[in-house]
Amino acid sequence: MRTDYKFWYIKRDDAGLITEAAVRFYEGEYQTKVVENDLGELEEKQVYVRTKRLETLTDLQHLAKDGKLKGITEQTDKKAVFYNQEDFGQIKTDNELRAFLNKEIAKDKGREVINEQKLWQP
Amino acid sequence: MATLTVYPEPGVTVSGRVSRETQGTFSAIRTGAGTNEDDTSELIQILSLLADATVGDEYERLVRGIFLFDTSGLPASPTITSAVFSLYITAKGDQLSQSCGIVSSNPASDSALATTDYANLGTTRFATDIAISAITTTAYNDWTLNATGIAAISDSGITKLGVRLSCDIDNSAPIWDAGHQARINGYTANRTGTAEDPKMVITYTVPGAEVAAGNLTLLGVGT
Repeated sequence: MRTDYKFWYIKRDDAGLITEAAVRFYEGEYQTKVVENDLGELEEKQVYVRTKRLETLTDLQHLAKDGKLKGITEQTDKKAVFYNQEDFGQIKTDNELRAFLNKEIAKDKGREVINEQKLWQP
Repeated sequence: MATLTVYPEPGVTVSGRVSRETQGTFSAIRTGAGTNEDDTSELIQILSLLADATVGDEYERLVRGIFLFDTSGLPASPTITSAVFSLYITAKGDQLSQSCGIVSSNPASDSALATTDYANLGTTRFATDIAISAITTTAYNDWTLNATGIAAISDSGITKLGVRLSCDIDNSAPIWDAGHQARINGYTANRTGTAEDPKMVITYTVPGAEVAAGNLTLLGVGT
């Protein structure tokens, strides 16, 4: 199962350390689609298409600790997964956060992070 | 001072473009009804003005960008000291000596664009324009919000920004030449991954210590 994530927000303190991150997880698949490039030309490409947003403990049980998972409700009433320094320790950069999230996804052997996010493999 | 970096969500807080693509005078293309929208592509023309190839002082296309952010992750009543709105630009062209400006937007829906949203962008600048000639491609370009832009940031809801060409904001037709164009292309939040999404970095302080996120839930409890 291909899985990806998008950031809702990342908070940093005065020292630039990441203190909180609210993350949206999805699953999806690669499909062949016709897309327009920068030159206005249409071309066929393999494109990752999200099919489901993962919001419940059933969807995200691989991320739970002791059967619980921290979530934060957005203005849209959707829930994002909430992480803080208890989870990822002292990190500063987006890439360190991505590497942490890739480790989270890897906890479920049935899930594989999408190709575009493999750059930050742990 | 703390910072909050926030991103739109595809299909929830919309990022995309609206346009009028019916040939007409500058006035007609600027004030006429929108004809097209795109809130699903990952790569879009964020801004474009295309002069007609044959008819003098007429244009074929005018494009405006719309970007929404859920900024409710801010603490209550923060003092925002700065805010920077950034777009990853992939390509550009400018034969009309244009700049890119940031304004308000107010689409009818937070999650999807309609052609009628073409009329739902403001003309008060939220930042200093960046000349297209100064735009850097294959990189983020940053607009630092001014006091008016900062005042438009919501600490409890959705912050709504728009992007327009300077001639479009000022209602000032450029010098026409057949087929000449001003444009910038860039990524929306539909882009796969997290490295090139539109984003806003808000620097703020709060009186006393910031309280940790208050509306935490335990996912799965009861589900």
